[in-house]
Amino acid sequence: MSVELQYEEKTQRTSRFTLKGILQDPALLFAIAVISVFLFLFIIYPMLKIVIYPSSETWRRFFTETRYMKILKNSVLLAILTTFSSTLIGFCFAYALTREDFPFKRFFRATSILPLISPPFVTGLALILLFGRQGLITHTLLGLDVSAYGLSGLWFAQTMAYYPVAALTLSGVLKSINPTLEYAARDLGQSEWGIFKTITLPLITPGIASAALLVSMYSLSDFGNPMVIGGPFRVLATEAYMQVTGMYNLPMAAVVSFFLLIPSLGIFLIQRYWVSRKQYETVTGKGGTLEAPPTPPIVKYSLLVILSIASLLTISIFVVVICGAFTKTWGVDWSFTLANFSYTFLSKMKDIWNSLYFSLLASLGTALLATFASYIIYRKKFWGRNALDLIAVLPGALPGTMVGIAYILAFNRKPLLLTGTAAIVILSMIVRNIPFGYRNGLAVLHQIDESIEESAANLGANTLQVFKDIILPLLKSAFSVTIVYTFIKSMTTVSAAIFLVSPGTNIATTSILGLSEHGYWGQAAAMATILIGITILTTLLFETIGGKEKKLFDF
Amino acid sequence: MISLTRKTFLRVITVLMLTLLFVTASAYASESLVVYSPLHEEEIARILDKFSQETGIKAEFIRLSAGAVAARLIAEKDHPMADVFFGGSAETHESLIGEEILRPYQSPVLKDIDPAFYHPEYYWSGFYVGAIGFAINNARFKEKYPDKEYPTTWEDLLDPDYKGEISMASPAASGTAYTVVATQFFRLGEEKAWEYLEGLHKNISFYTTAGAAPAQHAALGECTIGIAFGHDVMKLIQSGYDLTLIYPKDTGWEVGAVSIVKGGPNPEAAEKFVDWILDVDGQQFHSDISLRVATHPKVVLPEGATPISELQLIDYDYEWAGQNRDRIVEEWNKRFLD
Repeated sequence: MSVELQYEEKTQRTSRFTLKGILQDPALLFAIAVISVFLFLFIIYPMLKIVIYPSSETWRRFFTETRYMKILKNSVLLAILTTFSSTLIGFCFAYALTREDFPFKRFFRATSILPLISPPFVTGLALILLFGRQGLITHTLLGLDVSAYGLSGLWFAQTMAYYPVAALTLSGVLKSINPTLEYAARDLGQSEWGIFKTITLPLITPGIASAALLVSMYSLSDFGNPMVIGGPFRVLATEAYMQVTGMYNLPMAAVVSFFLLIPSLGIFLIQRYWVSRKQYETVTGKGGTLEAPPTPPIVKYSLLVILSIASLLTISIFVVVICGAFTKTWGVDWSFTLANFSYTFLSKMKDIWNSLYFSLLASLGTALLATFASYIIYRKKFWGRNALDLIAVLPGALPGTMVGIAYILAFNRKPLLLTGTAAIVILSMIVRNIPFGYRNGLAVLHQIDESIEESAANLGANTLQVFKDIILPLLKSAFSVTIVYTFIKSMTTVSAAIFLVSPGTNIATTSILGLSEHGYWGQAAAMATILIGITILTTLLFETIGGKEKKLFDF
Repeated sequence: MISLTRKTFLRVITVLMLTLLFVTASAYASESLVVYSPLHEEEIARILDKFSQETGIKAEFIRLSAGAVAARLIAEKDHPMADVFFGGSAETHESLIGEEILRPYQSPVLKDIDPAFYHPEYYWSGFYVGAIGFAINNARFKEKYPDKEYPTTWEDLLDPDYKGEISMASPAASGTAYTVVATQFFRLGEEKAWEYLEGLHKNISFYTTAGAAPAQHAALGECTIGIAFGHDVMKLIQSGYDLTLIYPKDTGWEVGAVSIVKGGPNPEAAEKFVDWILDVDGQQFHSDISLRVATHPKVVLPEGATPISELQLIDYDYEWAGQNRDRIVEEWNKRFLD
């Protein structure tokens, strides 16, 4: 690149972001091509299959039957409730755990990770055993005769399941706030509340929006919890599954799951409009070296109470599962047994290894793809950018059942023959977690000023070099959070995988669901315990390899 | 986390790509018999182990609900991955004939089996029979209804005192529940059947999605009475739950079938498996571990199972049930879910 050209670019800041600019940077062109092909092939194309597959008669039926409209309303109501509670609790966790002076941080961090590690139907079962008609807490301790099934139970289960998602998202953002800003505000005479209102809140607004958006999408497409604890409260995600299992009605299942997109799209547009008006950047990039100022005692102790209650509930869920694994027959014969574990070791180890192996590949793939995509799509101006942005977050709104069916329909013939392979399972895991990694990347990118990249670009670095040398190091917290999250999510996923696993590529969760569906709770709990154990060990291993500075549980 | 220097970054990508390729390639190489089955996870594993020991044919399986197996076989029609659809009500197998998913196979063993238990054109063959029963939670029943006798007929379930205490699966999601609904049609005729279901609906706590779930709900005390297949209830009783199983008068039943997938990768192994599971040894083994009643007359009934001859079964026309399924479930949805 000639000196004149560099000079010209300096004077015309925007030239890199025009078509001419893109053509001058083949690396960028290549990157856009790779991301576009991936997103179109594995998200848009299967979705098109879902839209084309049902007949117009099926579409018409969906609209004319009030039942479906009621289910649609249920889904939206649940999503609103869960989003509110999960984001609130998630924020409390993220805020508390990023303060220097908060007590028992390791403990709270560990417990907030637990719900992510557990397959959802196990959480649901534990809730029934604890709070159901014969529940340990509701019946045995309090003498109540209440059912855990329905909206309140489901809301509770989803809140417990998704507050860690919000916490993970928000902590990444909270951590990157430079404490010098807080000191500066204090020196200028701001109160604690004033600091929170004028500095912390505006800076984390994109983060809160990201977290809320993500939680609401997970709530809408959640399949495990409504299956186990929804009871009479019916939602779209399970309705789609019922259409398949009960009616063998793939077309109607496709239509029902398609309608999950509408509320998700609504949320997406609101978030987008809101966040785009409230952008702030901490110009220096990432955190300073100053220690953060102390937290006011009232805030500290109220947070301590909230976190303690949430953690206690989480722990009791896990105690129930682990106890179940060692109990002969829950509720009847409480004697200790190891028989449940011997079954798993004898006939189910292959499924567990598959889970581990697929999840590792999926988490690396997701982190690389999603982080890279977030950088390219957020920073570069090119035609079709908005469309790619939308596509990258869409999978969060797709119920697993829909992804499963769509993948079977889309990849069952040459040249795209993937059914029966491990690749299709891994790809479904990657695609379903891209929104999380992508949003995570965006939330951090919001706070990195463009001038840093521009400087590098003006010194002659192409897109790939800028990404590698500047963006990736700055995004490493988002990157590592994505790895952990995807790994754990993939270890516990069931709804899409259940359609995609084959004999030989079976994974642990589908086996656990099979066992618990038929009342082998002991074996299911034992297998879940082993799965959870392996998940914890692997994430700890990641952490050890990475050293102390770059924690995977990056709260 | 691995520190992200340029080198490691490239290495990670390379490793990722290579493994993905390797995995994709290796997954094609499977030569085992491929089984899709809605039976219990543990049962399938043990039955296929036994089959492999005796025939030397390796077998792999996945467990899905019967409807999910059907949906999946339909979706995979152009490129069948499975050899055998093992277990599940004959109705489900029946529904796949029209889709041209199944290949008829006349096993030599069928000469020993009552023709009522296999398809006249050999699309599917039955290897067990199951009947619908009531699972009653003894403790909860005695606590709530100290003066009542256990229900023994379908009409008994209409007692208003049972409001919110009966659990049943949704016929829109479960084959078991559809058998329950269809039973009322064979028992009472169309008009009266809907009246009966309206009455029963008033006592249902809610409709579960899995067919065996009502038995579990009764076992856990989530409800007092669960309507499910008798063998699902027996399993819970054997694992120690305090339940009583009652087969009502005029109860519904199913034939559990096995069928061969058209164009599956291992057609010969599939036939060997069908022969094996239909013959005395295979059926005996299945019956012993599952407590289901075998269709082969020479199989000795396992302890705890009730012989078919002691049950008062309804004249269940699975062909009619299969053909009218969409209409009935549609109507059921309209009446009870809107």
